[in-house]
This record gives sequence, structure tokens and C-alpha cells, in this order.
Amino acid sequence: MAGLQAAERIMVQAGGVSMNTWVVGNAPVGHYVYDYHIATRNEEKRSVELGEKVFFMKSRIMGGQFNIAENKFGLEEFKWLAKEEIRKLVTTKYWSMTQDMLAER
Amino acid sequence: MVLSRPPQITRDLHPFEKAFFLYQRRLNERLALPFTRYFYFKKGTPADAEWKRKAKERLTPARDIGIYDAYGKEQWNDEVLVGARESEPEWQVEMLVRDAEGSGVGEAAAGVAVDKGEEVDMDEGHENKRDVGMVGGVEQVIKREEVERPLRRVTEADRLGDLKSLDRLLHRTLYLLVKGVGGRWEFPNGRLSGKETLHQVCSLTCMYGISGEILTWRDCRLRSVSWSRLAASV
Repeated sequence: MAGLQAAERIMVQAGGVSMNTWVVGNAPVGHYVYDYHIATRNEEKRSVELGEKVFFMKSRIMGGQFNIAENKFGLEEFKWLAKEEIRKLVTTKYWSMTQDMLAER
Repeated sequence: MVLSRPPQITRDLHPFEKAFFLYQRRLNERLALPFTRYFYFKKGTPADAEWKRKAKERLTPARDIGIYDAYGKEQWNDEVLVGARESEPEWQVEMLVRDAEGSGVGEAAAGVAVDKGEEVDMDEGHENKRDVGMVGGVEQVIKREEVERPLRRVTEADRLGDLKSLDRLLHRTLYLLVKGVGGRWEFPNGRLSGKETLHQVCSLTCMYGISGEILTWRDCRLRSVSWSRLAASV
């Protein structure tokens, strides 16, 4: 449930409100675990962060378009790509951990 | 988060599938009972005459299998050559549209010279093209209606290679990739803030009826905007 709400929030913050989207289900469809090169210190929570676990939620876009102009994550660019085109862009480790959750067709 | 646009059209057919489907259609003409014209078209009406004219050109009632006679002496000859246009879905769609328009297969095949003259038909209320064609030495006036063709499977975005467009690769799933601050391409993601897990706490405090917060109770379930207000009060 938490992941679903987070996904909805992230979607609006990243792409604007002119997208008609829907998050499918409450469970994630994949995850990506990696360690930071240098452990960073989080002053707010007084902890040391060693890495990240990213959980992916599946969502569909039914209408509208992604608007990157006012995004809150500092994103520079976006692309809509098919599965083999994604492979060319991302790192090998990212690809190996995320390729199985993407549909072939 | 994996934002995907599902496929909008069915996948393209394999050449074997195209050949197989054409074969099945021609086979159907041989096996099924003949088309009962008198059930659909009343004898002597213009629609009946039109249907008879078109069917005579193609030798068969079916509109998308090309010129093939299922009951004549040539019924064994149902194979087409490799790369024949009858197999292609685009050709079949074109034939169906042409049939709706009023022009038959025979005209295209025989390469009849048509003299295009435009005339507005006042009875119908829309523009009809009237073609005067020389068929077998006798002049025939063939009315042609403009029928809208279906949209193409390969869109403008495909030809231009516009990677930001949602109309590209209609038969595939498209996934959103964003370029983050570090210059890496990845699926859009963000940090999970602790407020999302306050959902249960939210509903509890609302039930106890904190004054001034009753308005926000309805918003509790929808978006995270009002949660920050509740979180501040909790």
C-alpha cells in the first residue's frame, strides 16, 4: 500500500498532472539493490546510508504525455523506449536486475 | 516505477501466417455453402446490381482473396506466388475499402483508363466521383464514393524516430526512461518518505474526531497532500 501511494506521488512529481495513469496492484514487480561507492551520511536522520533498494511498481499510461518541465527530481530528459532499446541505454547491472519485469512485446 | 504504454495494435504477421490465412480463406470458399445473394439483396434493386457487377469481376463473393473461382474448373489453383500481394493485410484492407467505394478489383487489374470528372450529387448530399470507364467497348458510368481509409500501422512518429512520442511502435510496449542527476538513464524513482506509512495513524486520529481535522478525513485516502497537515498535528 505504501509503495502504491509513493508511486503515485512520484509520478505526479516527476511528470506533471497531465498524464492519465494507473498503478497496477499494491505489490512491486521488481527490485534493484546496489551499494553506494562511498557511504553517505544523512544528517536529518543521523544515520549512515550504505546503499539503496529500489522497488518498481507497475503502472500504465492511458492518455496524456509526460511533462518534464516542472519535475522535482532534477530530471533532464525522458524517452519512451521498447525493451531492446532500453538495454542499449542502461548499465549492465541495472539491465540484469530489471529486464525480467519488462514484457517482450 | 515502471510506467508503460501497452501495445495499441496487434503484432505484425509472420509471412507464414499471412500465407496460411489466405489459404484458409480460399479453402473456406470451396467448403462453405455458396453466398445466398437473394437473402441479402432484393432482386432488381440497385444494390443487387452493384453486388453482381463486383462479384463478377472477382469471380467470388469474398472481397479479400483476390480473383479466385471456388466452383469452376480452376478451383484447384488456389495457390499464389511467393510475395503475392493477396497475402498482405494492407492489400486486403485496400480491397475492402475499394469495394465499399464502388470500384471493383477488375478495374485495377485490367488497367481500365478512367476519366475522372467530379460532380456533386444533390440527392445524396455528399460528393461523389463519377468515372466513365470503357469496359469491353461499352461505356459505363461508375459512381465512386469517398470512403475513409483506416489509419496506418506505421505512424509519423515511427518515420521520424521521435523517441518522446507515445505513438511510436504501436505494436510494442513502451517504457518510460528518465535521465537523472548523475547522467544515468533509469526508470523514474524517488525516495519513500515516512509519511506514506502514516496511513493507519491517519485513520485512527480521524476516527477519534480531532476538531478542525474532520475536513481532511475524506482526503486521507486520496493523495499525500493533506497527510502532511495531519502529520504535523500528530
